[in-house]
Amino acid sequence: MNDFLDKLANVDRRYLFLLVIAAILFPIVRPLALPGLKVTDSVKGVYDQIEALPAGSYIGISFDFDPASKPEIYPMALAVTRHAFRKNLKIVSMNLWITGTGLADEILTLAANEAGKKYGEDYVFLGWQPSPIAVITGVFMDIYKVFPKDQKGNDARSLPMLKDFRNFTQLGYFVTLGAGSPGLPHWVQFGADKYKIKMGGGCTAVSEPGYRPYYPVQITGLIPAMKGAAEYESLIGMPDKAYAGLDAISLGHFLILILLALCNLIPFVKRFTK
Amino acid sequence: MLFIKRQFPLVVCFVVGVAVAVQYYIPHRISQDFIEGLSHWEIIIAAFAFFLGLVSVTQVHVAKLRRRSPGWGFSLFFFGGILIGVITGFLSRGKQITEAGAITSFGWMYNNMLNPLQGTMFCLLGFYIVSAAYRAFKVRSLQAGVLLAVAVIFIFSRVPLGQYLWEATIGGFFPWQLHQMVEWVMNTPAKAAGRGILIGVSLGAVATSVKIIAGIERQYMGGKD
Amino acid sequence: MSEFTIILGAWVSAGLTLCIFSFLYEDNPLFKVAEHLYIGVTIGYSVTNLIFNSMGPNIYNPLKEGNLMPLLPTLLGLGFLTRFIPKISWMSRISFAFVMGYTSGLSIPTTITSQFLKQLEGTVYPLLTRKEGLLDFSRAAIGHDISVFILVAALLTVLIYFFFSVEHRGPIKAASKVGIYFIMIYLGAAFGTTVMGRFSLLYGRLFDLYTYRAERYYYATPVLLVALIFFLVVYTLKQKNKPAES
Repeated sequence: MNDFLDKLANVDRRYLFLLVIAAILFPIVRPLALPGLKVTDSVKGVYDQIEALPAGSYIGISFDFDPASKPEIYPMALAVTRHAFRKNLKIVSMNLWITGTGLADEILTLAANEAGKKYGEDYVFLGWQPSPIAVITGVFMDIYKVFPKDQKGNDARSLPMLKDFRNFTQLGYFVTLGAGSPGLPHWVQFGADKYKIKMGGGCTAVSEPGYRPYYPVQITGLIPAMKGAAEYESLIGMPDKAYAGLDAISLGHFLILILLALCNLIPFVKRFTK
Repeated sequence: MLFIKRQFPLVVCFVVGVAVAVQYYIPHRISQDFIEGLSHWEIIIAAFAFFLGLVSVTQVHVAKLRRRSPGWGFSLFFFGGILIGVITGFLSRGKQITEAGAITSFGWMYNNMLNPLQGTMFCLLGFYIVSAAYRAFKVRSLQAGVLLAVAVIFIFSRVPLGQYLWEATIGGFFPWQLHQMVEWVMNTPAKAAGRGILIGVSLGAVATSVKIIAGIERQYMGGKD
Repeated sequence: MSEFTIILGAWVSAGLTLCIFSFLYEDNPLFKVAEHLYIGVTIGYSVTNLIFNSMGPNIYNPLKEGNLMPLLPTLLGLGFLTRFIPKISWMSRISFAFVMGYTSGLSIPTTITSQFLKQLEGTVYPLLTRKEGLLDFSRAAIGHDISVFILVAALLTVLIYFFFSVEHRGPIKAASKVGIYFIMIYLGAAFGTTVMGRFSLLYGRLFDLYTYRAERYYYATPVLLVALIFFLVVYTLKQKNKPAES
């Protein structure tokens, strides 16, 4: 018995890896559509603010992530962008992560094509600039000094949508969808707190406990990772990748629960059988 | 000359630091223009800092190639990667999607090389967190027990399957729903600890910043000369 | 984008993904190739973005138009690179000094506001729920007030735990011990959420691999997977034979 338990405790990690792959892959091959998703207040805190904005208001979105956290942030970024377009808001967007520029461009293009929105009239993508602290400070004063050109190379001042827009203090609401630093804490510290604008955020699961202290005084809401994204997708009535992904995450979570139980039970059973 | 080499940078740091800190409390137009201009300077300067890292990492790989150190062949892929990024980028003039919505070669490189490489590199952690949890997450004290208990509650409850199972079994005996209770844990005791850490870190950050401006902390100055 | 580039993209993407996954079996040359390529393309991508979207509009264009404003910051920026020339490396100190001064100067007031004062405000405000100027005794209000009390008590004990200027004896020791448990709750929550984050990333990559298995992509994933397994078998056998040969 003890030999078996020893073997189980010291099982080659590669077998564990295979279990992980099986748990995540199974719902991809055979979607389970597991029930039970509940919308939390922190996610509604972002949704409600965007929902309350009158058509034609400016909304700022900063896509502060890159491919390393794409499965977590991309779905919520797409959902928030879709929501903003559906509400006929004018999106002023940018990003603080250089390798995330392509993803931001892709999300905006995809959501704009779906909603029939035109670049320069309904949304702009200002792109990336170095030194996040200086960029955040700058966009709250004069966006044209920070971004003389947009990501497409147009003179930012020439874009019709920005005709009366000078800086981020004119935003009705601001959302940062970020994977870490630079991200939400920077926007709160160097932007929203000083210039007193309402903002919300989305973050990776790893960052969530660290960002909670900002909620609800400094940020109106927080969309945490794929779960938060799935909640947002259900709020706007467009279930997509995050919603589907939660099946896989569910099985993965239950696998780790079983492994944690084994990890703690094996020494106990060994002592008992001795 | 010695002043320029040793003291002048400290003077620059002090003057810039004090001026930037003080302007925060002066909502005058001149103060606003000052920080606006300085931020623009900072953006331009920071762009060059990137090349500092680039030259540094390139030097490592050039040295590897020169010495034919073990694994030098892999450095060729490093330079190959840079060339692919730069050549496609210059051909597309830094654009990934054209005005017409078509994907450029730079965009293709981003979608099919950078994206999977970076995404997969970081997702490896998913495997190791399982392996580490299985090997090391043993309850050996009450504190570890609390940590494990909270972790288990979060792992169970933050997925629809957990919430569904809870409701289908013992959920009815509780006045609150599972997601509400977990949100409460996240927004009350966990937030308090996170806030404590945040306050501690912030005080440390302020102290370090003051030391940098005052010239007490000067590691950025580098060597002795 | 033509069909050919889409299919080629699928093969490249699936191939690189599998090369990195091969590390799960053991460290091998295919993983190292992918790892070096990753650093290379990241640098190549970043350099291009930096040149076209930052240095072009901020430095080149204004200078071309006769605006000399970017000249001084550009010189300061170039100063960074003198770090690689020992004789004039001291010049880089001025550039570093500017950046350090700017960052530190901006951080002091904003950190005090956002990460200290606002945090205290978020903890105690509103300490007691009021309705029309009077204390609210509804069930929700009492629940909220109890939560605020726990939040305040927990924050105090955590701060006491990190406060090393007084010896942890008597009531201070007791409070700091309670503080540890709140930190454990935080870390437990952090672990729980981290698990979700890591699995989400894995889901993303496996989803792409599953997509590329299709006929449309000429079965990129299964073909490359078989090739990878074959390579790993040969590589492992070779590695096993190596000590015997030497």
